[in-house]
Amino acid sequence: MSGGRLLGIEGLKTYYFVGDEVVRAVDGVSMDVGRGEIVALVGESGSGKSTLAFSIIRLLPHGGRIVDGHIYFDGVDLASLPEKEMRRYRGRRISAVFQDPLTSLDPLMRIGDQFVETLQTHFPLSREEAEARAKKLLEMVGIHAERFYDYPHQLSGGMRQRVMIALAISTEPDLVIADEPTTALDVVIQAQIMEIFKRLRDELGISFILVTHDIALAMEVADRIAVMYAGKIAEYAPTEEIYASPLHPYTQALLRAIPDVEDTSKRLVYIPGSPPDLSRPPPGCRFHPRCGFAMERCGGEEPPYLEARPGHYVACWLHGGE
Amino acid sequence: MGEEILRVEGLRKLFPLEKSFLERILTRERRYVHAVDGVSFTIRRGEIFTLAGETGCGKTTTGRMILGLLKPTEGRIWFDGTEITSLSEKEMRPLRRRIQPIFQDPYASLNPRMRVGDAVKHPLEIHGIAEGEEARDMALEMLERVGLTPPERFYNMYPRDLSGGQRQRVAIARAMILKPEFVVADEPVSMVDVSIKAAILELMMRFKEELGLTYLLITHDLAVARYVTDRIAIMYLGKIVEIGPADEVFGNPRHPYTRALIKAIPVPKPVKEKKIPIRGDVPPSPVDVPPGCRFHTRCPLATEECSVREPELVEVGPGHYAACHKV
Repeated sequence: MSGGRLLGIEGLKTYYFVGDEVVRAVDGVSMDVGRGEIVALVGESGSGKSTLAFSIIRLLPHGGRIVDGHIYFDGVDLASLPEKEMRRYRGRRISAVFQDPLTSLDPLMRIGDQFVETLQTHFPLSREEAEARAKKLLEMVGIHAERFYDYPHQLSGGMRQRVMIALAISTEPDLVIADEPTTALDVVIQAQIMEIFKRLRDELGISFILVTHDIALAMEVADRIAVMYAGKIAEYAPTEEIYASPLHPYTQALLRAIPDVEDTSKRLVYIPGSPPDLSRPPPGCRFHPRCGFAMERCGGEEPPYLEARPGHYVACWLHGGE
Repeated sequence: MGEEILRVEGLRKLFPLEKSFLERILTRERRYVHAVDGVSFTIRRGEIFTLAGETGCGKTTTGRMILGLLKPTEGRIWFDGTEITSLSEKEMRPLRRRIQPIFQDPYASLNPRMRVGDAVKHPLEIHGIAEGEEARDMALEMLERVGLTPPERFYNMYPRDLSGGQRQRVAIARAMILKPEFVVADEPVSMVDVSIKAAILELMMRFKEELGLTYLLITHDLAVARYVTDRIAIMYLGKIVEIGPADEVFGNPRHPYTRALIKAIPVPKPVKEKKIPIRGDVPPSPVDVPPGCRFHTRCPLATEECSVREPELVEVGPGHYAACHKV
């Protein structure tokens, strides 16, 4: 964390209420994000990574609710802010980029007009000023200004995602939440998009929360990585530490499970079983039924989330706790 | 490696482009999507052959033509010596049992209202191999073999009760119960969580050993392909740009596109600076295919020649071919 704390999440719980069932998608999460850093939230399907990210801007699907905890953004607790005041943050100081840019771009509106509309909503700009700024934003993400008059369907998937990113940073946000932004794109385009994120971090000091299932991708771009499992953070540490000395057995197992195109001698190992149903999570540590190191205690008591080494957090009985 | 089991020659598939009302009145010319545009390769018995490439490269369309789900516009396919593109549906029937598919999304390929056991049993009945108790027992045995235990419990479940990984196991069971010789696996692990990807691949490999299978693996994921492939073909906009033994293609890639693709794959290590291999994007659809080499618009090595003359595949090493004027 280089430029001081921007976001501090404390004891966050976000549940989904579906019929009689309660799905504990995020169940007691604490973490922080610094200014000008890229933090990756990594996890498998159902780990709660997207729910955690969207809790921050309070954009939760139907039935989802923050039930406990705090989300301090630049000192203000977003978790308890009235909806009307939340609008000063959402889409302005915190913006979002989704997997499918077509869900956020208006198909009937020229690219340029979408920029002008967004810019004029947030800043007192004339049409000409807004257009000039829009063209500059498009240039920043590597899109030629002539695309200004195109409609979204005239662009390739990679270009649409660039447009989305340009639109997301048009309000000069402090934080951009990117939910699987390159999952639908090809690897070559993915590499280009990640380069843009890094440049925006370095040049504008924007912080990113990158939600991804791809740990290899997270390793390449993130400054810090939070590994989520079944609604909790298993481990949170600088990327170098996650790579060189992962502490949580789940992180260790995940790293052994990912194919590495540069290392053919690596033998892939899988984790037996599957992630738990979050309406009925196992007692104790949620990973214990699949963990190779599980002790008796792991099935009964939940491990505390502790700073095992400076800046390296882990929730595992192998690493501290009374 | 055994004798040839599949041969594809000059395969081409063009899809006519939908025209708007106005275009239909104003123009006579028909435009086409060149999904697959002249592809040839052979697969030998017992090997794992991969078709890889980005969206729109034609890998899936090629697979569907081999499965007999799409009629080629041009070109021919031989399976075990029989030319299958000209066969009638009836003549194709006995071959279908020998060629089985595994698709990416078991959600889409499994009937949501059919119990898992019935879905696995169904192919036996269609092909008149077994029915009643016998078919049920065979399905139970197959569920056990793919790791869905206890099989009696899984037999009565519905696809919605299963996790993504478990559903993919059902899809594999369905394909393997017919003891096929040749399996077309289209992105079999793309939607499976990382922690169980290796388990599904391992299962596929076990069946390969037990049944002496041959696989055609279709994937965009080169990291996965690297682990299992004997030979690989890299496709770009409907054409094979490079083909050869996996160790050669990965270890000594010759086509600039192959190099870029390999370089772009994230490796699970922290990196300070990542070189962006190539600029630009694939055309949104392969309608207006660039003249000359299709890759020249994005290629860092492109010269005048590349924009006018299309390169042929030339041998660059033993069994290793690349289509590039610059190799």
